[in-house]
Amino acid sequence: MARHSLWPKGLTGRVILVLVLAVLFQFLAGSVLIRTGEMHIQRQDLGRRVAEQVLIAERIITAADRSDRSRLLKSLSTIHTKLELVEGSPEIGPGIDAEAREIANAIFEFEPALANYELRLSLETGSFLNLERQVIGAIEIDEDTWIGFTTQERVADWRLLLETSIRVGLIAVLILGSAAVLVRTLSAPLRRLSENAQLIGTSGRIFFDDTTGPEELREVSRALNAMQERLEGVIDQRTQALLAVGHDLRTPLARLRLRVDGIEDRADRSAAREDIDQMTRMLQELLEFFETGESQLDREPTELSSLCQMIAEAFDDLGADVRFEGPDRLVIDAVHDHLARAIENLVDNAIKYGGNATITLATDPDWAIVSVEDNGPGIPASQFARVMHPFERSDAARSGRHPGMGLGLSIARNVAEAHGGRLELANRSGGGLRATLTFPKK
Amino acid sequence: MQISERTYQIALVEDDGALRTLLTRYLRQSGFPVRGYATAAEFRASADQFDLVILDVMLPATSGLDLCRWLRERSKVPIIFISARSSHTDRIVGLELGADDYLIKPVDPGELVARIRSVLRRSEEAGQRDMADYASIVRFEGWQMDRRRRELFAPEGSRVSISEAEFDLLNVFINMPQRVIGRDTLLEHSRSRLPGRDHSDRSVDVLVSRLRRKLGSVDGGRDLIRTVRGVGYVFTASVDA
Repeated sequence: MARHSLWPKGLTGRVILVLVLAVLFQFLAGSVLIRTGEMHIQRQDLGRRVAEQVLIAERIITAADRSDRSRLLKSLSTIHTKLELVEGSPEIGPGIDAEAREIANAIFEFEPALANYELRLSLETGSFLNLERQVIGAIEIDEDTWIGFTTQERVADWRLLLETSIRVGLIAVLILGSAAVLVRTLSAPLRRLSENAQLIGTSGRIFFDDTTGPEELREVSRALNAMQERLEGVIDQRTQALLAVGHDLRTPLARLRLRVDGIEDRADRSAAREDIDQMTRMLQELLEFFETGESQLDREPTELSSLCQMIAEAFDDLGADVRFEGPDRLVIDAVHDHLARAIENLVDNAIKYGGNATITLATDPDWAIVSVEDNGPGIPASQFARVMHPFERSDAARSGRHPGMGLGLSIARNVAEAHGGRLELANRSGGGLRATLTFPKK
Repeated sequence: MQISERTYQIALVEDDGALRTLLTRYLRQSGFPVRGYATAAEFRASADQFDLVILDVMLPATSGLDLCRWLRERSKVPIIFISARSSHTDRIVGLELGADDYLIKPVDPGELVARIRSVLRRSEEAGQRDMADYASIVRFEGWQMDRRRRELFAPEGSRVSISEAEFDLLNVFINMPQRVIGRDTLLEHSRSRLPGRDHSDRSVDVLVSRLRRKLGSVDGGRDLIRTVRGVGYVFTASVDA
């Protein structure tokens, strides 16, 4: 079921997404809270100022002569608040706007004396784009005598709001950015751990550092180290058991080898000898397979050209068609006998299935390349991986006259890998198989 | 194989009773008087009566390796290991302890007899010269040959692979440096190591050309063996033991 979800696959992605959502929410909530808070303070403040001014105006006006009232009140106006005397009914409608309620409360709270008068208050919106608002109000200080007031000050400025939003947003982005970096840093050991864990079982022991990183990961590292140790123990035990069986079988085989000399019938005798030879080869193959799997063997500078020549000549002496082509001299660090066995196995296969073999030695700046080619039918590419597996044989090999253990190619691969190289199979364009061993030169 | 006419006394130390009996019987039929021993302790009492000792590596109590070490401290008697362990390391350990050959079970009985003869011949040749003369490591023109491990190293230290037959041939040359050696002599010393080839002068020529090619991978190596037309070859380098 392919679900295209926004939920990222990786832990880092998930943590970052959670952080983005958290920061976004915090940003929105913060903006609203800050806005509300600022508005409240602003309106309280405005209310107090209006209250103070209006109260002073009321005191002066009531004490003054009726004819002077209008002039006095005008002179009491400040750049912030404009005051005027209204006789009769003010322009502003009766009552207090819902929005202006908070300001009215502030007025009454600050100057309770004003509570005796009727107050009309409203917030007037300016032009459409301009969010500035003016507070317009009037207070009836006497019958049909009102003090009208208009504040020149903005009540809530959208620019202020925007500025606040940008500031908060910038901080949010900064936090988010550093959080993302931190999350990546935090998840780095986890990624390293998973990369290393994938290597378990491919080569020797993988060491997991259990002294650095978060405690949980150290525990995982410790567990993996312990697991590898147990696995190695189990495998080691099995290998030792197999090796012991292999060694122990050799003595009865040696007895049998001598006993068959007593068989009267010549054909039977030679058949029995062949059987013993086959068993011997199989045992040898098995033991070599385990031995070449070890990578901790002493290497020495080994000259490859003479090695390939020697192998070609040995097969040639037995009547097989094996040629060698390559430079006179190429030295790499290697376990001589293992290298010889790997190449011999490839040549042996080439002769068995292809009838002949050409050993080619080549080199590039980093690698020494030994390839063995034959003119046989080759192997379907789909079977390449399988035939290199231990105890796996192609169908042709299974039906052969002297089936071995099917370890020849596995041994060659063991040898290549123990030297830090590779074994690769390919079908040649002109027909036949090419098996290539590559070894690092240094 | 030219071994002198006297009979050689052989000791076989092998803990597996049936194998000991079978091997003893086979070797007696091949003309070697053999005495079998089941343990190192049994053998030690009469250790100095033999011309050659065949040792199983895995023996109860004292191992074949320990017995070999003990034997080497007191005599130069030729030793052949017969072992169920086939790894390179096991073989090297055996040879380093002073064994003359290391065979792996199940040994082909014919092969065993051939190896016994070859080891006896080598030890006789060495005995004719001063024993101390027969060093396991010899040097010529910067090359180094380890006769115990049967390994050859080029002047800059890399291991150069040569076959058993080529090794035997080179060994003949090294024992007789700067002397013309006839094809017959060379053939005689290399014959046992020539599988599937007719034993003729021609096969000696093939071996020499192969050996030359391998020595020739280093400058001047090709001239180490020079042909003397109609007679044989001469090894031109001087040899340091």
